[in-house]
Amino acid sequence: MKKNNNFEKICILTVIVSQNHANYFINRIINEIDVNYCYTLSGRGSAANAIHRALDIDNHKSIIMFLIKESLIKKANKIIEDRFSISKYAKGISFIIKIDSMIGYILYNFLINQKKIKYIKKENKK
Amino acid sequence: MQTGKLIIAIVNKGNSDLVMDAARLAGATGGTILNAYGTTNEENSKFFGVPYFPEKDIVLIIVNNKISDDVLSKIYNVAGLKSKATGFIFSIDINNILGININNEKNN
Repeated sequence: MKKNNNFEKICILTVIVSQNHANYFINRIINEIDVNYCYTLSGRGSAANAIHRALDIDNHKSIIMFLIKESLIKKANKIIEDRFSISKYAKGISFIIKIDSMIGYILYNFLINQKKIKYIKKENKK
Repeated sequence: MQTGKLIIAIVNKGNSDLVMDAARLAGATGGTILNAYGTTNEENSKFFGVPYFPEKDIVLIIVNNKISDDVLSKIYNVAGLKSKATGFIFSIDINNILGININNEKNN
């Protein structure tokens, strides 16, 4: 038997939204797509506080980073675009950062949500 | 599918405005600011025996590929290593950008 070495590439899907909208993306993307891991950073927008108050925009931002298979990017982007189009308060930014390499087979299987290691049976040659 | 560059500037705390002003001059529209701490050799980072870690601002700016070099050099001129911000600035490639149209930046 030999191991299946058809690796799926992983990338980092980053979503920057207002702090009170972060949970929506975390819940939907983790529950509906094969994503096992994400982390969230807190930040703020670069415009002056006075402008944010005048336009009634929340300055606090959440930067959510999901580790996601490349094959699932379209599905994730559909969720994100639909949410951004709801209203100006739900708007944000998202983008993808590609990963060239990583170390750790078990970690990789966890990230791509591979429930068991696949083996391919070699045929006996007579 | 939009592609572009994510410019990351790591500067001393309180200098994020310097970075953003320089980036806007070069055509960027906005950015996101994170708070962070620098890491350093504990022996070198004591003040009267009390260890301290320098506070940093990390500024993330998304720009299109045409203006990224210009933005990088303008930020470096005002907030680079030799300035009071002692900034470390670099860029990485990003794609599938949603929520912002980076092809309508000022310089273009």
